[in-house]
Amino acid sequence: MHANRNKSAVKRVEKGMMKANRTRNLFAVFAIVLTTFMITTVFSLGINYMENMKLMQVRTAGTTADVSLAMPTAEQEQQIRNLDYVKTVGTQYMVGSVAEENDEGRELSIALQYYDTTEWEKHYQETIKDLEGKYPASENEIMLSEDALSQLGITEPKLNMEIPLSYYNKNGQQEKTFTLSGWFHSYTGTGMGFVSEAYCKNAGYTMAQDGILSLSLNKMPDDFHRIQKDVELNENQSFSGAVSMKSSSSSVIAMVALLVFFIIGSGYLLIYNVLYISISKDTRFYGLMKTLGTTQAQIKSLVKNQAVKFACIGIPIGIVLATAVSFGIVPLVLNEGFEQGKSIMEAEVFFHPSIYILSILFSAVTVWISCNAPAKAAAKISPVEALKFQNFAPKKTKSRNSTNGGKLHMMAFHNVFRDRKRAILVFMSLFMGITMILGVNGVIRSMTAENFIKEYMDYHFEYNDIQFEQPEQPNKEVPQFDEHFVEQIKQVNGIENVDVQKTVWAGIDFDETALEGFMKIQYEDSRYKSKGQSYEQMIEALKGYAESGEYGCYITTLDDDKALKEYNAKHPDTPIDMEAFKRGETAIAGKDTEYNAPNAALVGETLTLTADSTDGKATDFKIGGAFYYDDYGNNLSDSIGRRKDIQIVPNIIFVSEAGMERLTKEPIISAIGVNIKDFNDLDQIDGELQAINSTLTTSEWQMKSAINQKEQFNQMFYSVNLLGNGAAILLIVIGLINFVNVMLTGVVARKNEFAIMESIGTTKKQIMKILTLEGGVYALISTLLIMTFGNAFLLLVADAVPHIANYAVFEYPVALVIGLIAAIFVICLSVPAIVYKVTSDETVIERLHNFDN
Amino acid sequence: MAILETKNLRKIYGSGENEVHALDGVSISVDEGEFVAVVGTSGSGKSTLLNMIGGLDRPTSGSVTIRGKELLKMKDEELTIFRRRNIGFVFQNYNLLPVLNVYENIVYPIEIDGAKADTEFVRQIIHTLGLEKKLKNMPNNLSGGQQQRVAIARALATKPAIILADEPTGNLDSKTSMDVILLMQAISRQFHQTTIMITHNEEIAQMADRTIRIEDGKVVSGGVKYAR
Repeated sequence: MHANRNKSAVKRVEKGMMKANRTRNLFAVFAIVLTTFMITTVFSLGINYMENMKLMQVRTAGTTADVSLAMPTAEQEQQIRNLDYVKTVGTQYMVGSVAEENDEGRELSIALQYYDTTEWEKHYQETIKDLEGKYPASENEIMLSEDALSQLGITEPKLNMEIPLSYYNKNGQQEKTFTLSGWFHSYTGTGMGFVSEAYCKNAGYTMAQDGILSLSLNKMPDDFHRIQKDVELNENQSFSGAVSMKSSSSSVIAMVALLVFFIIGSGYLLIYNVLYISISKDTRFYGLMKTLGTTQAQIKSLVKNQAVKFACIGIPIGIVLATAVSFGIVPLVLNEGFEQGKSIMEAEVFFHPSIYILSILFSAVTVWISCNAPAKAAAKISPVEALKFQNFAPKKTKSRNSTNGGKLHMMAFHNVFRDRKRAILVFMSLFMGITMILGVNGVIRSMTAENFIKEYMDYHFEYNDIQFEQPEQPNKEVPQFDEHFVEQIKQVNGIENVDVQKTVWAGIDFDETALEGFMKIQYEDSRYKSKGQSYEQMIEALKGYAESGEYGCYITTLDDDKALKEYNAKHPDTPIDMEAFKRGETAIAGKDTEYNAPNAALVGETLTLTADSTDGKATDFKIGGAFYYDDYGNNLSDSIGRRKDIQIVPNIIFVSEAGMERLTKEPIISAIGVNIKDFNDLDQIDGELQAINSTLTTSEWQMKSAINQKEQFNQMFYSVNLLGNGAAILLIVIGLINFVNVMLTGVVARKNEFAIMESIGTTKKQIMKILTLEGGVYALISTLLIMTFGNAFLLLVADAVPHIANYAVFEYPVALVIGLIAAIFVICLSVPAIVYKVTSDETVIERLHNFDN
Repeated sequence: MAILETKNLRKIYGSGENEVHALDGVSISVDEGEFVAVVGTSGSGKSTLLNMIGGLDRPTSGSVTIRGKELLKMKDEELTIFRRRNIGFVFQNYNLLPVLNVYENIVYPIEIDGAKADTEFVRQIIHTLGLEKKLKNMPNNLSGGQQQRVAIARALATKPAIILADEPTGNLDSKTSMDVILLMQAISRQFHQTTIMITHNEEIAQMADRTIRIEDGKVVSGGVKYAR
């Protein structure tokens, strides 16, 4: 453009327009504020959600390292340090444990460890909070976690205070007085004590015997598999993953990408809708200006200048609001929750300047794009055309072969699609808004206490007879539960099923040939070998046990077809004959580990079992299969221990109900698992069960209730839930505002047309009917889109959530979908008619005149 | 017999010093089948008068009676329904509904009244106005003259008591203008249609049966038939 003096004239017009269109300006600025606010807040809440989730995992795991290897040789250590995908290598030494009873008679458990500087700084410090003092440097210094301090009865720790401790290390029981060099808050739930390198060296600890290497790898879990191949391990060594292994699945990436796209998309459409309408409403005015000699460039800059002004006001306000929410209100609420004990995890608020830069950039670009197209159109349009310009005039349809277009419902239908581009935009924004709500909610709702309990507990309530859980149980077990008790539990309302596990200790006839394979494998890894005794010497010792009737193990019922089917699917080479097992002819021995599988050697052999009960008699069982640890896990049987600590005997033998019948008629109920129908009844059923429990006269049992797990979970997830729900609610509000906005602008922009319709005799009632019908079409099509594409997206979410957290289970948000669709219909059916009523106050002729000028 | 009568119509805009008397005691009467032109300079109040007659605007005082019914005593909805049954409008800027094609625009006022179009009559109008070949077109594909002919057809379709035309040729060139006026004149005679037309074009006004002249909100001449 030439530098000329008409700039001030354009400025004057612009000023006039800004003044004349107060409401429009307010709307435009509001849309920009809202969008900026939404983008900033959602992303900042989202990032805080993820960071806090990660922080929580790291804190509860007590390390940020990915894998650890205990007792590495010098060669292995060297090899690992040389691997290029190993980021950091820290070392830990387990140097002892405090074991004493405090005044309340409670056993103390404080692990004493030495961490090297790398381990402390890179892998541990992030998992703790409120660190006071410094890591111990001299031999008599110690650093304790608050847990450890409170176990020791110290409520007000001071630096350099004396801490007398009695503890065990590799040299036996020790008494020593340490000075406190610091303390911290940890989240692992165990007492931690740290000592200095000097102490560790002087007490004679070495890497190969007591050390643990803990490693952060570049890429989990790929590098975890790599390192297992690259580093050769000894028999008893294995790499263990510290943090639950998360795999970055493609469905997670796709879901996050789509969600971000939907969020940005609906923000864009919100601004675009408002600016598009406000600018196209002025097209006649621009035509007039052109008639008066304003150039294209001038009109363009006129439009854009206004948009820039809106942005200059709207974006900062949005950012300030978002900051107030993300860094003011949210941390306040989180802290409140922490202080009131609703949360055990203090939330950290993360500041990511990139969010701000991105939000500002994004909002600015959006404003620019959304004013660019109408500005161009306004500038290009010929003056005469501009004067005749009507909003939403169909541009492409030249003719239509119909005669019923004047019917109200047909008019409503044509109105929706008169401007295809706009119709698509409208449906896009409605669909995106709702789908993103459903997606985010889907992710958050999938991580519930209920799902957590499903993953980590086999039953909602687990009763265990603790006599069966001992490393040694010298006395014959006294039954703790009886059939009457089980019956009482079954009577409680809302109980889905009650699994009863029956167990009996049985002697195993010492059949050397049948047991040979088993014993040979066991011997290699036994204390007999490590003490230098021969295989034959071991056999002699075992014979001794057998003669005194101590050679045997617990036999327990397994009544779980699913587990067997899964086993058969997993091990097609060594299937278990399910029918024979159910008939009680065979038994299953367990459990083997990955590096030695003695039980597998028993398969095919026949063992003679004699139950330790009044009716116990020698009964033959063919071993029909052997479980690895991974094959079968059930909290009712997992903790079953031994009567006598004889290493060379199966840990446990599973039989069916029929098998147990053959063995004895009087097995003991060792565990009861109770599932309930509706998780919401948990609290109530817990109460009823507690009442039944109080009728028991025995005491050697314990009940694990999901209610504790639920509380723990809720406390742990309090802050992340709050963040997630905050984002989700915000999205719902924005999504619905988008709906209202689209419906509203659709009516406001057609004010003149309605005036024409009225002038030729359409009543207000009829117009409202058209608008309501139109709203119905919008609602119907939106619903259709949600039920198809929206659900397709939810399928993706369902596929993705288990990769975010292993216990997460996606549940179709029926209530939310119904609620949102209802809200859509209410908005679509009511907003247009209401807006019309409000805007049609002036007489027909006034409105017609507005149109003319 | 007078199909339309106005008595002492007044319309005052603003108040105090800014008070404008757009209509200042206008009394006219129009007989059935008459083709009347209302002329006057811009700002004389002729459009305001037409809007009052059509029930689009309410006067400050006075009365409008069409077929013996007093418009001002009706409620809004009632008035709208009365309007669509008794008055056909032809606007300077046509005011066709952009979502409907030509045929749908023409029968729209009948359909919103819930009535069935008198197809024979509609066909006749379409024939008279020469729109047979354009029925499926959308309004934005028609020339100004064609659009105005659609508007006239729409106004006629309900067999209204009166057609009110506000500068129907205001946006048209002189040849098209003359065509449209001739059509309106022919229709007035063929269908015995009462028509009131506003214009400031003396030549067009000459073609009417009678001319009512308005100046400064007052009838100067022609308010009553044969009173010129």
